[in-house]
Amino acid sequence: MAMQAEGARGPDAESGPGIGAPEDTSGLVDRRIDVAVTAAVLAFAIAVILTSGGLRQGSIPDPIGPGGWPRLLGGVLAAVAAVLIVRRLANWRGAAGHLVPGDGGKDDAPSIPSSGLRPYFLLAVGIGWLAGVSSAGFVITTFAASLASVALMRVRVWTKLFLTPFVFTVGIWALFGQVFGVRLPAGPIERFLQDILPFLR
Amino acid sequence: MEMMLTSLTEGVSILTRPEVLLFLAVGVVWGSFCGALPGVGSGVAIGVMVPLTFTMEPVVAVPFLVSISVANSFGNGLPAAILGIPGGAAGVLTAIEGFTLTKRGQGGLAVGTNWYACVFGQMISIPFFLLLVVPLSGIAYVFLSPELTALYALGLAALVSLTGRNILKGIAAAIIGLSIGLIGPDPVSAVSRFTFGFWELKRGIPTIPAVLGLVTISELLRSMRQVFDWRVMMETSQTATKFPGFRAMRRSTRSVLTGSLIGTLIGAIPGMSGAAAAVMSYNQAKLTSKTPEEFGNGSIEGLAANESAGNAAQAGEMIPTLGLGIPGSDSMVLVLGALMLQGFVPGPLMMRAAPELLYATVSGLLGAALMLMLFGWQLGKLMLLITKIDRSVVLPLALVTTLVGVFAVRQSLFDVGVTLFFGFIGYYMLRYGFPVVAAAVAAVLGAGFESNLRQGILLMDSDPVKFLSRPWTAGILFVALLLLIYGTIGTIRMIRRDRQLVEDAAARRQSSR
Repeated sequence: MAMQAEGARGPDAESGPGIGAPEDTSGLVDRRIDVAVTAAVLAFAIAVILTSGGLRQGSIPDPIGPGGWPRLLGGVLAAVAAVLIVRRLANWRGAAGHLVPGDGGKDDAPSIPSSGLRPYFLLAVGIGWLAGVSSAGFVITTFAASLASVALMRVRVWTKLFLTPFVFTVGIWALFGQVFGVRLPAGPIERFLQDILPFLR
Repeated sequence: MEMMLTSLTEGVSILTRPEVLLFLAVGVVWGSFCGALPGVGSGVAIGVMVPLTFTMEPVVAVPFLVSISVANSFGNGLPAAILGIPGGAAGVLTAIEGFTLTKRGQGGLAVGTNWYACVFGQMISIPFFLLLVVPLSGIAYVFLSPELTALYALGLAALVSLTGRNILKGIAAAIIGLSIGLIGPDPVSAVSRFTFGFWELKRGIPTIPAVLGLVTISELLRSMRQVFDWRVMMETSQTATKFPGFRAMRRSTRSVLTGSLIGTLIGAIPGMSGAAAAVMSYNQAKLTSKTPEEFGNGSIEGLAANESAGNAAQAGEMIPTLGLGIPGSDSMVLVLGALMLQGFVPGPLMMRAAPELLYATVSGLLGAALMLMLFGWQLGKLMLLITKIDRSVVLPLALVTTLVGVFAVRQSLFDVGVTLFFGFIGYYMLRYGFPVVAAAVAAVLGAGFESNLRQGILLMDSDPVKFLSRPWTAGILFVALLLLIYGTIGTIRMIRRDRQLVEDAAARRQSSR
């Protein structure tokens, strides 16, 4: 799988450095994904050019217009992306495998297993917080998100896994809700606390 | 000169009042704490404290609010240098230089340089502020859209130093950042662009959530690919949390001096942010450095240039705020609001009618710098202790804190969605060599560039010659062009040199097998 080619071995595969550690692939990227990312940039640029063609001039016409700047940006971006793709494809046969030197992107630390899937799970936690905070309330959702994200980092000591997110949630609720005065979404816990402690917002 | 001396002496005399010193200390601690929280800028930090100023005298209230703004800028740099997580847009370059130092076991040097640049950058900006407050207030009348366009172009030209190893990917990243400003209302005709029927996009993409997503969330996601103890990667030496000494930071003095001047000048222009000043200062330092190859690899000159300009911009923002009654940033809106509640009338005559406001501002800037000098290092050292806590707990909680911080700005879940989306984009950009820093800075500058360009052309009756022949516009654009050419040549040379070093190293490994 593409994630495997990046040096990822999944969240369960981290047995510590030096124990069946994979070949050090830091500094190398999968050229197929590199081309795919650049192709996505090219597609974005073309979409900008095509969409800006349909923009109407407003009541105050100016020489550049609403579509001028987007078309310029889209055109330059498309040209740059096309050159990058052509360059990569021109050297395709020359490379020994699909892992090639990166273009200075941030590398993983060498000789330490990395998980290509964990960032997606963490994004899912963020999306879960976003989706759930209005209905379940700030306290429950933030605690759940903190717990889930700490658990994804393979923390299994119960004090760190449960106590730290709990203390963190209470602290951040107090800081943002009470000190900064931010109106945090209220859920069952907040409503219960407001019933018994009316001075709480 | 007489005004400068009078303002300084009156400002110092205000500092002898115990209540002023107390509130300065509170303001510095509070401002630093808020600055260190991602998404919580000086707007929130000052906003929370404005009600406290209702019962204060103006000569106590103004230094208090100014100290929060100054310390917020200092606080922004701390998580950037220690964790690679900028507290705001201006901390992006500090995250690159400072965090590299921290990973090398030189966290003390990173935090120390941040402290040195903030404190001395702030102090140096005070005389510049006093010398320039009257003339620059006058220039702000002359600076119309064409001149602002030129300044934004200067900022965009500075991006050439942020393109990384692949200059084409750097250009692509910058354009992606500029594209963020395309979404929403057209700056001239208010026609909706690229909203695709979504009402949330009709107001445009909020810049700060997008920048935090690109820089902070992406870095956190990338960092959390791996699970390890900090101390495996960061050398735990005695020097890691020790004050590095002034000798070690002496190299950055020139960057601090020029950064202070650039920050004061750029900060004085309404609409130009501390982030823009920081980028220009960084670029200038790189172009004139004897060791430009260190930039991007833990350069204390780069770190100092960035931080000193960002801090000096606080003094710069006071110039249009006090001199013209035009607030230079969201925090200055709140400061001006607090002054109005105290009975002052904002406008060009405010300083003439109430010169004590100028003296109080000087005392705030000077007092905050002195407070940071006294215990700024201790505040920074407290943050360095975070590296002794389990990384597997700190990073996930930093992720959640960023999301909550973004929500707190406008109490908008849409902003959190924007942050997550750009975090996803930024993650791929980081992994495949598209520099997110260039995208983030372009996002900050892009909307201002287009709106001023098009409004400027309309102002000049659609005549480009009239637009370009304005003296300040032509001068600044010429400097921007020189910067672009010189910066591009320098970047290409550095890329070729790096490539040669990598090829030589590979050839040596091959021959030794």
